[in-house]
Amino acid sequence: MEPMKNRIIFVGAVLALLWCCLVFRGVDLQLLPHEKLSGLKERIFETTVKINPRRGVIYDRKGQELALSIPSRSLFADPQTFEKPYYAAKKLSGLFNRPQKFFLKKLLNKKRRFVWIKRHLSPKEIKTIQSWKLKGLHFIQETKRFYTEGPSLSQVLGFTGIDGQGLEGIEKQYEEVLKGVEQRLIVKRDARGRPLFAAFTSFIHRMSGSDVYLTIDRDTQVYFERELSQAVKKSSARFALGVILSVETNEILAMVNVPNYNPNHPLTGNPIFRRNRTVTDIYEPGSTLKTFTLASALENGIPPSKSYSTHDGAFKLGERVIREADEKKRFDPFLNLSEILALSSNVGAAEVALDVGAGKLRKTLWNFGFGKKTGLEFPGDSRGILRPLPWRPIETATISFGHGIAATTLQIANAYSALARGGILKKPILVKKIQNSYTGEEKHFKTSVIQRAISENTAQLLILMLAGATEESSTGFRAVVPGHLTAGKTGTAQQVNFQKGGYKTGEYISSFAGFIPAHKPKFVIYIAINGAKDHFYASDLAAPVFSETASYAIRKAGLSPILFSENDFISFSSNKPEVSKPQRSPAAVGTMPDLKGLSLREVLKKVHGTEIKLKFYGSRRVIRTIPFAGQLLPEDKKVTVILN
Amino acid sequence: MKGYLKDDLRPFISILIVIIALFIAAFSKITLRRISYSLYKESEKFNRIQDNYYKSLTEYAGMNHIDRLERQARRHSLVKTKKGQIIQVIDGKAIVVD
Repeated sequence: MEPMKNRIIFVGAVLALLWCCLVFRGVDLQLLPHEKLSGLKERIFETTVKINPRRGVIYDRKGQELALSIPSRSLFADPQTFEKPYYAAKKLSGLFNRPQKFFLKKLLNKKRRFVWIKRHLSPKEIKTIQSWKLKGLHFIQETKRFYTEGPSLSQVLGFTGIDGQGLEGIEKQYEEVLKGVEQRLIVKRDARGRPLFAAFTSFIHRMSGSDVYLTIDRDTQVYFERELSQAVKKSSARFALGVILSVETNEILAMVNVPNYNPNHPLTGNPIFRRNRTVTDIYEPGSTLKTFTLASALENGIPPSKSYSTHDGAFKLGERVIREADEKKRFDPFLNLSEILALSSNVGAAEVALDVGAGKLRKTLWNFGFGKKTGLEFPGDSRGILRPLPWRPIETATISFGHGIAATTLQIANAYSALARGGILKKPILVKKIQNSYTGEEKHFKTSVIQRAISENTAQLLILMLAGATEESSTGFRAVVPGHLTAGKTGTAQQVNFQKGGYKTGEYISSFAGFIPAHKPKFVIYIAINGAKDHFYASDLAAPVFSETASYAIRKAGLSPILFSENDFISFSSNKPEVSKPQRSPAAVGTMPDLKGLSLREVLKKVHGTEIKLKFYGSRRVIRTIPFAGQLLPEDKKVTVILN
Repeated sequence: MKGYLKDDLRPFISILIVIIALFIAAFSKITLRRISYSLYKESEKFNRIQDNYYKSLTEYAGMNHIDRLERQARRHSLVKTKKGQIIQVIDGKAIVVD
């Protein structure tokens, strides 16, 4: 009996030991950390869901979509499961118009499980491929960037690459903002690989990148582009550039480069036309720079009534000769500052610059932003060329009428914007706000002051002179918008020959810079038509474009015309009544002359040579003077002239 | 009699309780999984709606493009404004000054 009992105990003990081993193994597997098993668990029971963010939308200032991402499907193949590679390659070659070898190489690569066939298919292509019912060909959902305006604003918006990354323009500058953040979620999955979300998890939707709102007005942009395209065609020019700025906020309302390209197909067309030349390309501004030469003169105490000799159209400076742009034209022997600007005299401008001095002239140009970046947050913002001192007299003379200095379209427009604002230079802005599409949080952008370029008084006086530069018999006459006060300056500059040096014959940059309305500037418009061969004078080419564009902008802004009275209304059949000119009586010495009804230029001509110091309010024609006509002049000879 | 039944039923009841508990646990897990599938389905539906919305935006942008609007306006005999044109409405009558 004893040996039997011992055997039972022994077997029982062995069984108990085995059972304990099983229990310990169970505890080890279930409760203790185990790297290999965790990894296996993750592979079998878990999956990583990658949520690609939708790229943010780019809007214009009114919320019109300019660029957005739309769903698209791309085609890929799994070479390891592919059944008929030769047949498929033949079909794909016919559909996509590419050699069969190209597709065969991908489909026969058995080492890979994923090869791209084509990205972003059209609906027709998808339908055709689906009809083949080929095993191994699969579609994947992606997003594709779409530009709603086509070629319009293309250089500003830029474009994206095949993987949706920004490569140019706003797309590149605001890449981090637009692209959003990729989300990766590790979630449990079922036997078919579908992710299982916990009951308390909210919708997992694609987190978009932030939306960017530009300051651009889409309608004004399109209209401006149309006008410039017509001008390019008319003059057989190479390209044209234009910028419209809001004076108050210094927001860029339009930024035009023509010819342009279609960013929906960025690789077609000449790559030169893909960059935003209003910001990157520098050129000699020509006569539009005379405004700032005169600004320097006025700021440094030269009175507007001071006259300079025109030297009969040409004068020698060292070994070089300064001539008028149109050698056939002959001006009066002496011109005052207002006349130099209105008639665009190169000789007059050179004389003024030499009188002011190189140092003061350079300082004024620097204060207006020439020779430094505008501060616009955009790729390729150029600083232009403003030579350091010392300048030789010939350099001072040529710079005075816009040669020997280089600037971008935006720099010139920004300088005029500073003038229109009363002499305060501000940073231009292209982006109004950035909005987080998920949280709704907004980040607004406003312009900032860079510096005061000239005093308020000088600016006002210069604005009056520029208004005079658009009067009849001035070069800017065709820039006038009927019913509104217009101020601006034309420029016709020869094109620099970068290859051979010097200037190209027969090619010009026709430009116009101005603002409207002159008495309370709202818009600054600058136009430059480059490489113009026919009708290249700015008065014939650029000035009318300004007039059309300004007319549109003013009408869109709802600004009613101010330059009309009952005389300007016509009855249904009769003609406009003649406005009779006032009689002028000769003024006695020491008494206030009769200036009523005269234009600014006529006033300056009349008081030239007297000791009268003028202070102007308003523009166009004189309606009143203080003291009145015929009254004794005050001791300091200061008189106030009020124009309507 | 009562006591006899009680004694006999006890093991049966306890097993029943255990089985019911197991059913509840299984049912909860199935419900959770069903909710997860619904959530996934709704999520996919939402993404499709969002995609269609963006597609519609592109169509809308094409429809209200300035060129198209001008073409439509001309078709309805609306004339483009001229530069400097003033249109004044007096007593319901429009007076155009060119």
